[in-house]
Amino acid sequence: MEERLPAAIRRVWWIGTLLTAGWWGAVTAVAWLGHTLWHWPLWVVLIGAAVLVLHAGSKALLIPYRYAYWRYRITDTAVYLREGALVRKETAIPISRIQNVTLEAGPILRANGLQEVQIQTAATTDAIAGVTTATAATLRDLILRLAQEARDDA
Amino acid sequence: MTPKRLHPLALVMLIGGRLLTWTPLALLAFLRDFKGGFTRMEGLTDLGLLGILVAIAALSAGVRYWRFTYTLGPDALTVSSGLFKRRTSHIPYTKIQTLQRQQWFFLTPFGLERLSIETSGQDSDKAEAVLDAVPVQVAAQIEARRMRVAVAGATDVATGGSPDVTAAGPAEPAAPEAPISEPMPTTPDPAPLLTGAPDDSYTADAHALNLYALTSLGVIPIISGLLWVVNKLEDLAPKAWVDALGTTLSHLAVTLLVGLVILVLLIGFALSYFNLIQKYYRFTLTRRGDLLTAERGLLKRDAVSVQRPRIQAVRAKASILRQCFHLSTVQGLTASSAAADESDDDLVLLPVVADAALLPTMRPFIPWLPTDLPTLARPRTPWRYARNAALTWATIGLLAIAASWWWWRAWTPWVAGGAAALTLLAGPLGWLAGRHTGVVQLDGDRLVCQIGHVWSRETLFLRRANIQSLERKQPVWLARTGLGHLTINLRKGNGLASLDVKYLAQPTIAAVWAWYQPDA
Repeated sequence: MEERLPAAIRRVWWIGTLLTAGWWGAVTAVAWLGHTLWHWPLWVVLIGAAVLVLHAGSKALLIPYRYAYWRYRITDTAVYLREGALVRKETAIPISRIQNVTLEAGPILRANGLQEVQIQTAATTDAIAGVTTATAATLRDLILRLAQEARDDA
Repeated sequence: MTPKRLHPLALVMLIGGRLLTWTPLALLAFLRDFKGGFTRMEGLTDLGLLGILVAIAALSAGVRYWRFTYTLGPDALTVSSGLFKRRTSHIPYTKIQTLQRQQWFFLTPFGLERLSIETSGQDSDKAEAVLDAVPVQVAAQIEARRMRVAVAGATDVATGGSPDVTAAGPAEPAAPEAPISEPMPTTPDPAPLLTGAPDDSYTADAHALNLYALTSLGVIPIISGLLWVVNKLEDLAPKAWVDALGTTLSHLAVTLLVGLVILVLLIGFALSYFNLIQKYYRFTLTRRGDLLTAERGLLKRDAVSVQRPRIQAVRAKASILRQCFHLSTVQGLTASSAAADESDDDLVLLPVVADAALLPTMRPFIPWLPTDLPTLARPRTPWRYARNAALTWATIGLLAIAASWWWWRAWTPWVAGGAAALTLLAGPLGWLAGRHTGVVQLDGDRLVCQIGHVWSRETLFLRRANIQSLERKQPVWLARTGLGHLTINLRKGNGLASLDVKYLAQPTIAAVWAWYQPDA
């Protein structure tokens, strides 16, 4: 049974986008200050503004797309992650390969009561961007229990 | 168990190593003075600075030598180092991925070697433990203890620790390792695993070595290196010399100039050739039980040992040049970064072998390889590979032309010509790369996959247990033609090896997907 990400993750992504816009806005402001006070060339300001629009703009535009198409599914033997519509990508991670499950939450995720679930194998790290704290703990315990069983049976 | 220090000769090695790293900088400063003509004062200052450099190197090496100790415990190797920040590493013998022994010719009379021990920890690109100069018996002792611990673990069922010798994965489960609480068992050491008579052995003969060095593309970095040095010398040499040289060269006829260029190319090629010959001199692959050892080198004898179950995948790689002669290089992917090859950091199992002889030669060492190469499911038509290659090189070419138009206008016709030639070449080479791409499952446990690139081709033999995760991509614009991409993720060195097999038919991808996870 496939699960979606919680709706609150969109708010987290929006805040992240605003922070990115703020950061590039600050860079552009410094460039403009340099242009007026110390005669920096105009193209520095223009590049700053362009990056601001492109980076923050693309992040903002992709939020509904990402939310709509992200799915995850945990069976007895594997974790399946699905994303994207333009390029549909599906990842299969057998439980027996999972070395580590880490729950991580920065201040924005914490403020919204969410946590990121990172699933580590010996080579890759895949992440479920955000689930509620209760779900995160359940997922972690489930995956680790299945991992323990998978190894004991081997 | 008393901690042991390194052999005093390690001091020489450590000082030498530090000087080698710092000498180019010193030389640069030295030559700058040389350029403006030499005064006595400058000469003395330079010598003084050189002396200070040597003193710093000696001090740094001395501190490391004094603070570095190692102990061969019953089930782990303990290494202590550091002056201000004391660092103690415990490396359980069972966690060792590769053991690399390097012996310079001047250490042989003393019976010393440099030992690098790597585990599957992803800490950094350096080995977890490096013993700069230890007697050659240490490596054999480590291997013997590893065997003993593994055997004891296998017979001790109740503790729940899983024996490494049969584990197929690179890292061990979260369950704690069985502690060996009793004193060291009195069973005699198993047959020396690093020096006894091998179960199987392969030595690269002179002909194979010659082929390897001749078909190497390593000449290109050497030539670039030579050109860079010439460029730097021009900056650093005294102006009078450069002017004199310029006048001489301008008076030479064109034929002589061409001859000079060819001479430089030949020198570059000869340097690369002899470097490879001495690096892979008397390459030997041996198997003793489950331990594979690859040894090579003339001036510096380099031996890397790896446990067979630790090998993540076997790769047969061939550049365009070697493909023309039907030759391949066989490498083993492990979870540690020992034994660098000429082009990447994978353990070389066979430097060069004829394609037809590849599997028969490797099977005694790695029995899970197939007896011969199966028929792979390939993309229906490789034109997309050709198109992608041509587009990529056309883009690179256009960027190069734009850059040369902006900065070195005189060179633009040459750059344009080169770009056009490369793009025209990229199309057919891309087509060939597409023909050399494919994947097939051998049985429930093994997979063979081939990936073609524009300038090389690789064939990988994988086991299901070593594939960390699988990805499949379905771009919306390929849905109508029923094509998709497959990505196989493996552990390689300290990171990830992502194998992208593109433009495969959907049924092929579905078959591999089902093979990987039977209950999708």
